[in-house]
Amino acid sequence: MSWLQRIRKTVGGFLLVIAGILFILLPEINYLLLIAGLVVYLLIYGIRMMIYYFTMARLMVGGKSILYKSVILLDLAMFTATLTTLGPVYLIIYLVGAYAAAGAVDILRSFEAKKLDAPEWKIKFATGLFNVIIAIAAAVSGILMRSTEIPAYIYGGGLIWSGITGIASAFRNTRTIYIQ
Amino acid sequence: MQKDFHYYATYCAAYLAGYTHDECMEICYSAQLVDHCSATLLRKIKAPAEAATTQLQLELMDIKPDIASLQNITRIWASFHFLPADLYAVRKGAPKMYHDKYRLICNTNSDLLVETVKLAKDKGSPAAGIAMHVLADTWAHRYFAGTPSFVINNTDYYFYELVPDGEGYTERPVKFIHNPSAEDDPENGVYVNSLHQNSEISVMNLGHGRAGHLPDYSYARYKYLPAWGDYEEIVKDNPSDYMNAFCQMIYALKYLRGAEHDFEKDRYDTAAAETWRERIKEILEKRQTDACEDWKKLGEEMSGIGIVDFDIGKYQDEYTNASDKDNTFLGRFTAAAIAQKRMVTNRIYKSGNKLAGVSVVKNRKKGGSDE
Repeated sequence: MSWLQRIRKTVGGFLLVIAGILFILLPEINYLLLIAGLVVYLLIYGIRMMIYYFTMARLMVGGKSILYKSVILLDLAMFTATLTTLGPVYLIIYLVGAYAAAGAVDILRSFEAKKLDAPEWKIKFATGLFNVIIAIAAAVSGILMRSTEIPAYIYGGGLIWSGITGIASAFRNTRTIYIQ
Repeated sequence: MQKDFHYYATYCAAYLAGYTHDECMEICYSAQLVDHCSATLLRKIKAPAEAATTQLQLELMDIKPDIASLQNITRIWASFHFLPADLYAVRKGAPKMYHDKYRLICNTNSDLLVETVKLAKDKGSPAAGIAMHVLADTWAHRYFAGTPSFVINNTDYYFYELVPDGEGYTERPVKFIHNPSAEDDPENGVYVNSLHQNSEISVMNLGHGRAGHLPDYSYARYKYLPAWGDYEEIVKDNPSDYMNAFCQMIYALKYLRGAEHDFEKDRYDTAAAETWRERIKEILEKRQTDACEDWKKLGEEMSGIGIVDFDIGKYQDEYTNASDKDNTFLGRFTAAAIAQKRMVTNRIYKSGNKLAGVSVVKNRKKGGSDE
């Protein structure tokens, strides 16, 4: 992992921790803030990937996957933006769904890593499982208690945890294949 | 390529080119040192960091993905391990930023190879060894570029090893794993490669990392789709390529010794290797990840003298204690390495490509590099 990657991971982790704290402390505006942040992130990521496709990746074997990823990211950004007009319950469902999906992806990637004998599969699996459990807990408590505050606390706690694990992984030793 | 070819096979080629045992030892030592001369080593012996010919795992790990670091990577890997074949290659419809990477793809018998060998002329054994490392790697590392690039160096699931099977070959899908501490398993076709990262400038996409060490094994025959190849399959026949590398080294070393008046592309001294051809072929085709013992035995049979194993510290005391470092073995090695790096960087820059950095001709020294 390069220094810039470590810095990015650390900054990203701190932002997640701050977002989690805001989520717990400011229940009125927190959903909108988070949705806005998510939209900006997805837009920038999607546009960057699309530029990469048209300048470089369109010429490579299997390069279309970069285009598909960029289109999906931009679609997701636009869809996320439309959610701001809905009530907080729908936003919670969406955020919880997105959180669960991210957890599921982590679990699937951990299986892939395990298949490839990569030693980091355990941490990936634990992180993914935790995210899924948090998402389920937030959804169930919200539905059972008929409250938007409880899932907000759980969700905020989950964000703080993700931020901390992100910061921790930034300082983890990584190894690179030596090419000669 | 690894120590088996860069050290022991280079010794054999030098011996067949007419060098004495002691000269052969210096040439092969220098050829192997290219894979060890990192900035870390140079700091240790207080030598100029510019002379780095490789980067260690830790150095690569801590690389910052800024322009200067990427240029440093490209200068090292393109100059010594992935010599670009055609700095003016054209791919229809590709923008400049793609061409800059595409033009760094390594291949054999290039203009830069001729310049590399000629640059080593009359510079002694260390320069000859460096040139032989570069030459040999053009055969092993062809089709990959010495700069981090996802769109050039990536490989995908279409990767098959061609395993000899009596008269023909059996195609076996290569299973790549990403555990750096795991060993390659040629019997079961399991090889370690670098992680898939769709970041264009990730060091995971440097050189042949995505193909693992298959290009470094002389026995390997495989077919795959190179990322830059427009879905055209490449069949890599390492035994044949390594034999060409060996015979081209003999020819190049004869030129450096003065027994050939010129060094031309696509010429191989097969006659000098003829007596040992079957033995060499046997070593090249043997399914093993380290052929040091076999090459060493062959070299000792050729010269009748024992070949001392590579010792990285062999010349370090001589260098650190010398008042005139330029006349030590490592002094001549670092001077030759800097000259090679400057020459390649200059040619890349002159082609309009700044991936290896900016190169300005300052002066022209007699017998030295002109960059």
